[in-house]
Amino acid sequence: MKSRISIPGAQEKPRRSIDPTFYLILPLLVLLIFFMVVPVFRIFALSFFDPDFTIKHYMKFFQAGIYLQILLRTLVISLMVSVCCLIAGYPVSYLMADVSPKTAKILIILVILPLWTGILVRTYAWMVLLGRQGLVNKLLIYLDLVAEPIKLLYTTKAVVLAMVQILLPLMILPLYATMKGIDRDLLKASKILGAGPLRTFWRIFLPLSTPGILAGFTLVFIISIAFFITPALVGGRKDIMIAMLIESQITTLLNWGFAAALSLILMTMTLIIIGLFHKFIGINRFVGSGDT
Amino acid sequence: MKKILSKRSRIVMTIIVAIGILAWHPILAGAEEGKTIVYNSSGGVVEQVVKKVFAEPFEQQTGIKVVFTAPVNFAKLKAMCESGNIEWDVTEIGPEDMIRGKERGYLEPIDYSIVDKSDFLPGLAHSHAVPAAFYSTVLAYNTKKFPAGKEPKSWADFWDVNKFPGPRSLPNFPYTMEIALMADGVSPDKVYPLDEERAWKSLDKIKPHVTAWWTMPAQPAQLLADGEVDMAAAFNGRITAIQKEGVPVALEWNQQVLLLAYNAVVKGAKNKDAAMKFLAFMVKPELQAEWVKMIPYPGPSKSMYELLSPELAKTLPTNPEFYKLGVVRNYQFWAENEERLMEKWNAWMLK
Repeated sequence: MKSRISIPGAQEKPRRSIDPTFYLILPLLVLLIFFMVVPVFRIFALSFFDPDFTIKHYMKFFQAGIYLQILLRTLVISLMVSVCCLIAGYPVSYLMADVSPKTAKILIILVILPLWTGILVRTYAWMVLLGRQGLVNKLLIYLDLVAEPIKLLYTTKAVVLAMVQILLPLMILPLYATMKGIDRDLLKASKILGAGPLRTFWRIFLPLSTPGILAGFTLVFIISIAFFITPALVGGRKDIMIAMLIESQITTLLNWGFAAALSLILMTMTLIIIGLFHKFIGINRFVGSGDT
Repeated sequence: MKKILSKRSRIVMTIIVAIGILAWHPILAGAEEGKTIVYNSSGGVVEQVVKKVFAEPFEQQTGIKVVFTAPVNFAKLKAMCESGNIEWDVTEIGPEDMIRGKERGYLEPIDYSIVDKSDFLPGLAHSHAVPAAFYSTVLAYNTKKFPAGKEPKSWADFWDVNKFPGPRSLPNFPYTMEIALMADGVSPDKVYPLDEERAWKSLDKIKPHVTAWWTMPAQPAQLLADGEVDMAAAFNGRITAIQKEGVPVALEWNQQVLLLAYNAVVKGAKNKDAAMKFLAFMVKPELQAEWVKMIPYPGPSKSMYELLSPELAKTLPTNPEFYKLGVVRNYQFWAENEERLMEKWNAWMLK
């Protein structure tokens, strides 16, 4: 943000003047205060008061074992999703940054297109594909690769696969923005100095694209850890994620205090990840700006 | 700045808004006290049917008008009773909330000198609520895989993976312990008090054969329709619905687990007497029969079956013939133990 140069005494009312651009964010600010900040404080209060001050909900989380196990499970699934997104998304972004602007535009549309379909719909599509009578199993049987339908649905693999498909655009877009900002002359210079294509990639391109990798990775990871509907629908009995736990505490057990504590633990983890990211890379990388 | 509205049009606007608020607010909209009751329902189709089957004839007979609000919300009931500003007279209420509501003093005791419980199915007249709608967890199966003569007839058959091979689906809730006990040979009337040890042991046996643990009521019907599983514990209404669509499934009433929702009068209701009269009116067998023709969840009446066609009667869980084969969930037990068992259940799932 631009800061104004103020010379003491030079302006008539230096303290009262508000940057006019402030009014542009005012509606959003009001919305966020009432529907984000206030509820978060309510949740905070809910997790510590019942009705007197208590830390029993947090004690329960750390003592029962099962909850830490579910948290760990959530982190492992999110990590798998982020790694798979990176592996699948990096070449696509590379291609997008390399082709003509016209082709790049078409590719961007293709990447963004799935975002316009609801998560639930895409999850159901995976159920149709991976089911016992689903397309994949039918094809495998038709090709005589298997005799009996194999179990694809209700496994951790299905959860990861479906989540990767849903979150992939969020990996590709920041990667693309970063790669687009890489000066191609550096690659030429590297080649002129005698480095082969692999060495050029490894020593020049990859390090320069690291901010994009981290931005995409963090974004996908943060959204993954709060995923609910996909693991609930395509996961097996062991694929319990923390958001599912929160849901059951709220709707079936009516234990809102514990649900609030779980939510805060999840939020704290997210904030720590974002904080680390900001410290090392800078938060504006999320919106894809190549120049920090 | 120029005024957008003239003074007169502002006054008119104010009056319109005021009338709008008055008309919208159920209490203010009604006439004098005792001539109106506020019924809080889950809204939607249920509200329409309650209005048509119960509320309109009630108004004709007694002159008491029923005003509707929605949705059913325990937090709101709690807030009302704690602030003393009681907006509802009668509310639809889930079984566990009913137990909680009764224990916290949010509900009036039912006046059974007005409400006739002699026609209720046995053991259902609760001190603080009147049964409103039953549904049931039943054994449902694919009829192509298990045709007549080879079909599973009990939870013990569901557990028998050698005689009835194929993937299965069970609810991802500790309630499944009820089913596990019956599978282990406990008769429905002996399910409660729940023998937890025995239930866990029985659950261990079926665990490897359950492909999908469902969390949403629509899931088991979908799983059966897609051929994803061959057998499931599912809600009866969902199975009847897909049967009508031509899906080859059937359900077994034997050892069904009955669940129910209630109607209750809110403590300190402004129109308590009229509210009791309305509850008494709702359980009349002829009206209960009308209700169940539109909503597949029957009320507590047993004599209404004399008024129903056999086709309809055989799709209802409270049909006296099926009712005696099942167990009604003991919500008192779950209100006290659910949280503890849910934690154990989740741990068991991860094992």
